[in-house]
Amino acid sequence: MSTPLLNLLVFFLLALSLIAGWHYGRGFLRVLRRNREFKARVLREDLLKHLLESRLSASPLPKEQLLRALRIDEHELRDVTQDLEAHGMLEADLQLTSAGQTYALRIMRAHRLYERYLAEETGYGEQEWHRYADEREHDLTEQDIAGLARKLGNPTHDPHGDPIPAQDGFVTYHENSHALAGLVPGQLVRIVHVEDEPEALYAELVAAGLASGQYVRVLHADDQHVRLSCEGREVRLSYRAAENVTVVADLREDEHAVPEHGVTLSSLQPGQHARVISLSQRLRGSERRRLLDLGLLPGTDISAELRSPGGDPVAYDIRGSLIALRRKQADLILVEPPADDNGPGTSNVIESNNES
Amino acid sequence: MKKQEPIVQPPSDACATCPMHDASALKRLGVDMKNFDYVVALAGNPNTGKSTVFNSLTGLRQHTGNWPGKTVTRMEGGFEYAGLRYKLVDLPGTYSLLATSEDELVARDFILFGQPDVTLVVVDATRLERNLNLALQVSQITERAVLCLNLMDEAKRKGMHIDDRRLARDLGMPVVPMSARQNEGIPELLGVIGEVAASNVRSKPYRVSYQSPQLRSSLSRLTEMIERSMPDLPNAEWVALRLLDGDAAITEALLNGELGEMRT
Amino acid sequence: MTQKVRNSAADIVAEAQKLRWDMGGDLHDQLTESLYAEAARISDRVVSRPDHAAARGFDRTLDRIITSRIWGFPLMLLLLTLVFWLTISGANVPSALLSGLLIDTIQPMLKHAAASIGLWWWLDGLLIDGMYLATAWVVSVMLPPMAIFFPLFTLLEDFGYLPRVAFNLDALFHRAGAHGKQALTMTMGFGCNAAGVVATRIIDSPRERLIAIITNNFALCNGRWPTQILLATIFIGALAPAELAGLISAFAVVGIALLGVLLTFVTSWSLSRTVLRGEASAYSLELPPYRPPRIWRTIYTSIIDRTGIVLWRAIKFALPAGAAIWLSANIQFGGVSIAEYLIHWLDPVGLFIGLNGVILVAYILAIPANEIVIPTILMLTVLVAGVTGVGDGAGVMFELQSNADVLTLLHAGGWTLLTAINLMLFSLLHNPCSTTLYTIYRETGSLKWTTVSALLPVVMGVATTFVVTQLWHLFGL
Repeated sequence: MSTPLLNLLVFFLLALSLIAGWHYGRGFLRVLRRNREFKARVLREDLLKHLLESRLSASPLPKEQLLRALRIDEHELRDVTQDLEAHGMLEADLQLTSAGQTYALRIMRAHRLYERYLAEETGYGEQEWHRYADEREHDLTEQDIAGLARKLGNPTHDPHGDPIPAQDGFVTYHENSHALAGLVPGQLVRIVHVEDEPEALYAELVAAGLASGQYVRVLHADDQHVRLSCEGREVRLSYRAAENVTVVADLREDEHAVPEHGVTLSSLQPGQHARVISLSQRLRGSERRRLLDLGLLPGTDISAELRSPGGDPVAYDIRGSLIALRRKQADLILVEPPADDNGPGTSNVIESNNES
Repeated sequence: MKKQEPIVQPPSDACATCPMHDASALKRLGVDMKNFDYVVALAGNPNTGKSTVFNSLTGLRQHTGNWPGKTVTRMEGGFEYAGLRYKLVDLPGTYSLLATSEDELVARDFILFGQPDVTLVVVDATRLERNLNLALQVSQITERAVLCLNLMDEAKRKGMHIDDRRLARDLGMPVVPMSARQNEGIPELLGVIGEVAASNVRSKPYRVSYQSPQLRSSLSRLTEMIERSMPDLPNAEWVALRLLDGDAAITEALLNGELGEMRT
Repeated sequence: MTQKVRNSAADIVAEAQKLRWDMGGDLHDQLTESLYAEAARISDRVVSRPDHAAARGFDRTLDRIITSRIWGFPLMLLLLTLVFWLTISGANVPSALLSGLLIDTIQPMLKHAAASIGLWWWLDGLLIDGMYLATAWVVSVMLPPMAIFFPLFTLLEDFGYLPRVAFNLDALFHRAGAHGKQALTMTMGFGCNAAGVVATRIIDSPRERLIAIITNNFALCNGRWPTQILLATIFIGALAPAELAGLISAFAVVGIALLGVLLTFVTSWSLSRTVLRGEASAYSLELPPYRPPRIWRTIYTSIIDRTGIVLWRAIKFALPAGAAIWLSANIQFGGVSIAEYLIHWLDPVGLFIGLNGVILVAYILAIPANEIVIPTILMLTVLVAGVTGVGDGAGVMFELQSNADVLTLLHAGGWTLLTAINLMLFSLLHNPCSTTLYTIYRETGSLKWTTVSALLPVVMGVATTFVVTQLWHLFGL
């Protein structure tokens, strides 16, 4: 009897092709939709966006870099430039006209709003934001963008720290900002921007747990590496990755009071109590708001009470309520080291080697 | 029980028993005020016995579980006290009213735009600190709030003592200690609801002192602008805060004049 | 006047926008911090607690036992077993009483009354044999277990025990991308999937809640246990020597239920990594203080609230189902009823996946309630196999007192051991009943997720029975 065998074979092949279809199918649909017309528009919009970014951040954009970013050759660049000049978007030497700037601002607004949406309202990871936003920025209509802004409460900055152009195109950048790479050891700075391109360097920054809004102190810097203390951890970055992080060095008075001798909440053993220093900037969206609403704030006294038989989660006493948090959440909450502590919690205390 | 006719008074500028609510706004929020004299909103953190208070007042039998976050849909009921009929609207249980979730938005919009004659805030007496977070926010929005200090029996069991008079003075709103599960304090609560609904006496909106100097200066600048343009608005500072937070609903209500036309 | 206000309103909004650029993105943090600081100041002034530690000593001691490594799980198993045991053993008597009353007493009385007033046969059949009978069936099978299970479960909930169960099991569910509270909604699903879906409200994280809703159907509900027990007894128990038959068939039923639990985890895991990956997730689990449960009040409200609502919905769906079942067996074209047409048409499909046309038609007709699947199957088998002397006529559902009679009838319908095994699998893996589907729609407010919840188990069921059948043939069993 070979029929059952044949049937099973056909079934599994069908199932496999369905799974594969689901996995790659959406990409396939995109390919179908991306006809020449659409591709040309994406190219035009991407070019305008890159030019605008370079102008706003006042950093020159060499032609080779532009070609690499757009994945085109000189020939194609000339074509698209002529096309845009004909539409009154560009002038000679790749200068944006005011119409071109308005158009590019709209694309930038769509991109950054969408990244903000992904960070705040969905479960997608940091490294996926940019890719999804790059796709969606060309599809969002004026209405979609307005709806998104409304839903998110008209945010001013995207999750990387970049300003989101307002509807009227108003945009402002941080003044006096520097690259993290060029700082001297001992300096306390606030991260205002984490560049998400190129992907490999961004992956390094995400793995290091750096995010816009964090306070970091430079511990050591040479032309190969930068060592930092950040939210209770010690972080080592390659020089090139550190170049992609923008910081503000002249902090306000109250910002210098940020304590640095922290341990993570997850290192607390049941029975120990401590005072919360801060919630990591990597705790975002509804997850962050939930913890804030429950009263988990800087200065709150918190004690570990019960450990689940599975080891995770741990229940904490927060302002008289017993709240269980998972380890990956507790890892993102910085507390002062418990005074009576000799346990394993001390192992990741970071002593700043400078005056605070 | 014999039904009493509601006392109807001739309309005057200083009408002592006139309902505060805006019937048309309520209708838009899905509340039919036919046959009712006053509307009472019920707010509170999850798991504070809010549903028990609702059941005690209305006699309905909504299931109340020992779970945070039980009431998802809005419940309505009615009760009669001293000859007047009250509509009680149970709002979703939330920790905050900063409008970051659907539940918070529903509760916030009802208290703001529905202009209930009384807003009850049910708080857990054993965890006052966490619950006051919400009570303070309610008092920033409305001047007609009443605090139900629920679960007093549990607090007593834990040996806690709560100075409810001092609490009322500090918060600037009436406070009723009660144990809804034991049906203790319900008559007192009814009395206070009746007083607040019928009188023009209002609580003072609570002024929270904000810690960041930058926030304080932005806030006072904006509040001043709002007060100058709409002197009747009772919660100018709160509106200013919402604007600084980029709240779309409040921005629109301000632009289309809905906020300015609110009765106080 | 109005114009003036509007103008300055625009100015105010513009000013606010300008100020917002300098505010930084953490306004929510700042507001909450200030509010809590204020709340702490007030609360410190008005609250005095004599001894903080001693006051909550009882709760913590109890917590240490309930969540301890040694006692946590045995205690949980003991309590849940107790709840299930009370439900199963306690439901038998009232179930038999209800069915005796509704089906054996009232139905003949109604038939008699209808005959005496000379009601048309078709109206009598449609109303009494169809609609009334289906509803009576659902009520007598569904009501007693629910009226016992829900109050017991609610008592544990009111006391504060259930959140601790979620706490104990969270690590397990976390690995499957789900929330520990899903342990409770799943347990609730063993009583009734519709109630289980309603119970997912306690999960306040969107992604985890959807996972719990979609996978609730894998908890073998009250309406499906009788099907499992009947088939296991007459087909699988019969394989073993008489003294072991009871044990073997019990193992088979528990095996199916455990397979359901396993599939809950597997499906949760895959959902959280595929279609639901982009949904937002925010975990928190509050362990409320223990409160002495108010027993009578709980029983009252849980019967009114949970049992009553679920039962009412089930009745609303059973009435039309009863009508459909009766009509399908009685409307004839050229001497062949609609049901028979359907069965012949679906028979090849059914046999291909190791079931048969009767079973598939029964599942289509009895979509409102799993309770009436077996009676419908028996009725349809009589209709198709042309057995005489069994049953009460076309379109009238029935049950047989003796298992041997059922076996004879099913053999006449062409059933084998393979059919029985596949039906047990299909009973676990098919679309939720229409009551549950409606509840899913109400809770999610989304047609998309309702469709996913309906199709996912059917596809899994068809695939599973297909593979089992082909393997069975392959090994020449």
